[in-house]
Amino acid sequence: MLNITQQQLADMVKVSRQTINAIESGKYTPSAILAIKIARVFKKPVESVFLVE
Amino acid sequence: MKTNYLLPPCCKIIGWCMLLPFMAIFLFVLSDSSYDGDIVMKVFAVVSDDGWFKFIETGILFEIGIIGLVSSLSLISFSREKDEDEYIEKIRLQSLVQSLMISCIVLILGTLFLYGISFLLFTLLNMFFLLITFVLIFNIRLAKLRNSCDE
Repeated sequence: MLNITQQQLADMVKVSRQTINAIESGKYTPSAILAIKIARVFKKPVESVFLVE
Repeated sequence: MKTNYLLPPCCKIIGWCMLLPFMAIFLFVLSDSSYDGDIVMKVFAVVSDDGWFKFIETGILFEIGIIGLVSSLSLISFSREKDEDEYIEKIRLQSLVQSLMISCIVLILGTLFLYGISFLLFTLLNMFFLLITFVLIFNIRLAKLRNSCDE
Protein backbone atom coordinates (compact mmCIF):
# COMPACT_ATOMS: atom_id res chain seq x y z
CA MET A 1 0.00 0.00 0.00
CA LEU A 2 1.01 3.63 -0.30
CA ASN A 3 1.35 4.39 3.43
CA ILE A 4 -0.43 7.77 3.25
CA THR A 5 -2.67 9.56 5.74
CA GLN A 6 -6.43 10.04 5.37
CA GLN A 7 -5.82 13.75 4.79
CA GLN A 8 -3.32 13.06 2.00
CA LEU A 9 -5.73 10.68 0.27
CA ALA A 10 -8.57 13.19 0.73
CA ASP A 11 -6.46 15.91 -0.92
CA MET A 12 -5.55 13.59 -3.79
CA VAL A 13 -9.16 12.71 -4.61
CA LYS A 14 -10.50 16.20 -3.69
CA VAL A 15 -12.91 15.30 -0.87
CA SER A 16 -12.85 16.04 2.87
CA ARG A 17 -11.05 13.85 5.41
CA GLN A 18 -14.42 13.06 6.97
CA THR A 19 -15.50 11.38 3.75
CA ILE A 20 -12.41 9.16 3.62
CA ASN A 21 -12.94 8.36 7.31
CA ALA A 22 -16.59 7.45 6.66
CA ILE A 23 -15.65 5.23 3.70
CA GLU A 24 -12.96 3.47 5.76
CA SER A 25 -15.30 2.83 8.66
CA GLY A 26 -18.02 1.55 6.32
CA LYS A 27 -20.51 4.34 7.08
CA TYR A 28 -20.57 5.60 3.52
CA THR A 29 -20.43 3.96 0.09
CA PRO A 30 -18.59 6.26 -2.34
CA SER A 31 -19.97 7.27 -5.72
CA ALA A 32 -18.59 5.58 -8.83
CA ILE A 33 -16.47 8.63 -9.70
CA LEU A 34 -14.91 8.79 -6.24
CA ALA A 35 -14.31 5.03 -6.26
CA ILE A 36 -12.48 5.32 -9.62
CA LYS A 37 -10.33 8.16 -8.22
CA ILE A 38 -9.44 6.16 -5.09
CA ALA A 39 -8.71 3.06 -7.18
CA ARG A 40 -6.40 5.10 -9.42
CA VAL A 41 -4.47 6.40 -6.40
CA PHE A 42 -3.85 2.85 -5.13
CA LYS A 43 -3.46 1.42 -8.66
CA LYS A 44 -6.09 -1.22 -7.89
CA PRO A 45 -9.29 -2.30 -9.72
CA VAL A 46 -12.41 -0.25 -8.85
CA GLU A 47 -14.16 -3.30 -7.40
CA SER A 48 -11.60 -3.45 -4.60
CA VAL A 49 -12.90 -0.14 -3.20
CA PHE A 50 -16.34 -1.60 -2.62
CA LEU A 51 -17.23 -4.28 -0.11
CA VAL A 52 -20.25 -6.31 -1.23
CA GLU A 53 -22.24 -7.53 1.76
CA MET B 1 -17.45 17.20 -7.19
CA LYS B 2 -18.82 20.71 -6.75
CA THR B 3 -22.49 21.29 -6.14
CA ASN B 4 -23.77 24.15 -8.24
CA TYR B 5 -27.23 24.57 -6.77
CA LEU B 6 -26.04 25.89 -3.39
CA LEU B 7 -25.06 29.43 -2.38
CA PRO B 8 -21.41 30.34 -1.62
CA PRO B 9 -20.19 29.57 1.95
CA CYS B 10 -20.08 33.27 2.96
CA CYS B 11 -23.90 33.41 2.73
CA LYS B 12 -24.10 31.16 5.79
CA ILE B 13 -22.32 33.77 7.95
CA ILE B 14 -24.60 36.52 6.58
CA GLY B 15 -27.60 34.30 7.41
CA TRP B 16 -26.48 33.74 11.02
CA CYS B 17 -25.87 37.50 11.47
CA MET B 18 -29.34 38.31 10.11
CA LEU B 19 -31.14 35.63 12.11
CA LEU B 20 -31.00 37.17 15.58
CA PRO B 21 -32.33 40.70 14.80
CA PHE B 22 -35.11 39.42 12.55
CA MET B 23 -36.11 36.73 15.04
CA ALA B 24 -36.24 39.44 17.73
CA ILE B 25 -38.50 41.62 15.51
CA PHE B 26 -40.75 38.65 14.71
CA LEU B 27 -41.11 37.49 18.32
CA PHE B 28 -41.60 41.06 19.57
CA VAL B 29 -44.47 41.77 17.15
CA LEU B 30 -45.94 38.32 17.81
CA SER B 31 -45.90 38.78 21.58
CA ASP B 32 -47.14 42.39 21.59
CA SER B 33 -49.97 42.70 19.07
CA SER B 34 -51.06 46.01 20.58
CA TYR B 35 -47.69 47.63 19.82
CA ASP B 36 -48.44 51.04 18.28
CA GLY B 37 -44.91 51.94 17.12
CA ASP B 38 -45.36 49.96 13.90
CA ILE B 39 -44.09 51.37 10.59
CA VAL B 40 -47.28 52.23 8.70
CA MET B 41 -46.98 52.26 4.90
CA LYS B 42 -49.14 52.13 1.81
CA VAL B 43 -48.65 48.70 0.26
CA PHE B 44 -50.00 46.87 -2.76
CA ALA B 45 -52.21 43.95 -1.75
CA VAL B 46 -53.30 41.28 -4.24
CA VAL B 47 -56.02 40.20 -1.80
CA SER B 48 -57.10 42.15 1.28
CA ASP B 49 -60.25 42.92 3.30
CA ASP B 50 -60.97 45.74 0.82
CA GLY B 51 -60.96 43.39 -2.18
CA TRP B 52 -58.58 42.42 -4.98
CA PHE B 53 -55.61 44.44 -6.25
CA LYS B 54 -55.90 47.44 -3.93
CA PHE B 55 -53.39 49.74 -2.24
CA ILE B 56 -53.90 49.53 1.52
CA GLU B 57 -52.32 51.21 4.53
CA THR B 58 -50.89 48.79 7.07
CA GLY B 59 -48.11 48.20 9.58
CA ILE B 60 -45.20 46.39 7.95
CA LEU B 61 -43.02 45.43 10.93
CA PHE B 62 -44.46 41.93 11.04
CA GLU B 63 -43.87 41.46 7.29
CA ILE B 64 -40.25 42.64 7.73
CA GLY B 65 -39.82 40.10 10.55
CA ILE B 66 -41.24 37.20 8.52
CA ILE B 67 -39.33 38.00 5.31
CA GLY B 68 -36.09 38.57 7.25
CA LEU B 69 -36.49 35.35 9.21
CA VAL B 70 -37.23 33.25 6.12
CA SER B 71 -34.35 34.89 4.21
CA SER B 72 -31.82 34.32 7.00
CA LEU B 73 -32.90 30.71 7.57
CA SER B 74 -32.76 30.09 3.79
CA LEU B 75 -29.26 31.58 3.59
CA ILE B 76 -28.09 29.30 6.42
CA SER B 77 -29.80 26.23 4.94
CA PHE B 78 -28.79 26.62 1.32
CA SER B 79 -25.16 27.68 1.67
CA ARG B 80 -22.38 25.34 0.70
CA GLU B 81 -20.03 24.13 3.42
CA LYS B 82 -16.38 25.06 2.86
CA ASP B 83 -15.52 21.37 2.56
CA GLU B 84 -18.74 20.31 0.86
CA ASP B 85 -18.37 16.99 -0.94
CA GLU B 86 -20.58 14.03 -1.79
CA TYR B 87 -20.73 12.74 1.82
CA ILE B 88 -21.85 16.10 3.21
CA GLU B 89 -24.29 16.29 0.31
CA LYS B 90 -25.72 12.93 1.43
CA ILE B 91 -26.01 14.20 5.03
CA ARG B 92 -27.74 17.32 3.67
CA LEU B 93 -30.29 15.21 1.80
CA GLN B 94 -30.92 12.91 4.77
CA SER B 95 -31.37 15.89 7.11
CA LEU B 96 -33.84 17.46 4.68
CA VAL B 97 -35.90 14.26 4.49
CA GLN B 98 -35.84 13.86 8.29
CA SER B 99 -36.87 17.47 8.89
CA LEU B 100 -39.67 17.12 6.31
CA MET B 101 -40.95 14.01 8.11
CA ILE B 102 -40.83 15.72 11.53
CA SER B 103 -42.53 18.79 10.06
CA CYS B 104 -45.36 16.68 8.59
CA ILE B 105 -45.86 14.84 11.91
CA VAL B 106 -45.94 18.13 13.85
CA LEU B 107 -48.45 19.56 11.34
CA ILE B 108 -50.75 16.55 11.73
CA LEU B 109 -50.48 16.62 15.55
CA GLY B 110 -51.09 20.39 15.60
CA THR B 111 -54.18 20.02 13.41
CA LEU B 112 -55.49 17.25 15.65
CA PHE B 113 -54.87 18.82 19.04
CA LEU B 114 -54.82 22.62 18.62
CA TYR B 115 -57.93 24.73 18.12
CA GLY B 116 -58.87 28.41 18.00
CA ILE B 117 -56.21 31.09 18.44
CA SER B 118 -53.54 28.55 19.38
CA PHE B 119 -54.02 26.83 16.01
CA LEU B 120 -53.58 30.17 14.21
CA LEU B 121 -50.41 30.81 16.21
CA PHE B 122 -49.24 27.28 15.42
CA THR B 123 -49.73 27.73 11.65
CA LEU B 124 -47.79 30.98 11.84
CA LEU B 125 -44.85 29.34 13.63
CA ASN B 126 -45.11 26.25 11.44
CA MET B 127 -43.99 28.31 8.44
CA PHE B 128 -40.46 28.34 9.86
CA PHE B 129 -40.51 24.90 11.45
CA LEU B 130 -39.18 22.99 8.43
CA LEU B 131 -36.23 25.36 7.95
CA ILE B 132 -35.39 25.51 11.67
CA THR B 133 -35.54 21.70 12.00
CA PHE B 134 -33.36 21.28 8.92
CA VAL B 135 -30.74 23.75 10.21
CA LEU B 136 -30.68 21.98 13.59
CA ILE B 137 -30.50 18.40 12.27
CA PHE B 138 -27.93 19.19 9.57
CA ASN B 139 -25.62 21.16 11.85
CA ILE B 140 -25.81 18.60 14.69
CA ARG B 141 -24.96 15.77 12.27
CA LEU B 142 -22.15 17.81 10.74
CA ALA B 143 -20.70 18.63 14.18
CA LYS B 144 -20.92 14.95 15.19
CA LEU B 145 -19.14 13.94 11.98
CA ARG B 146 -16.33 16.45 12.49
CA ASN B 147 -15.93 15.49 16.15
CA SER B 148 -15.81 11.76 15.34
CA CYS B 149 -13.04 12.41 12.80
CA ASP B 150 -11.00 14.51 15.23
CA GLU B 151 -11.01 11.81 17.90
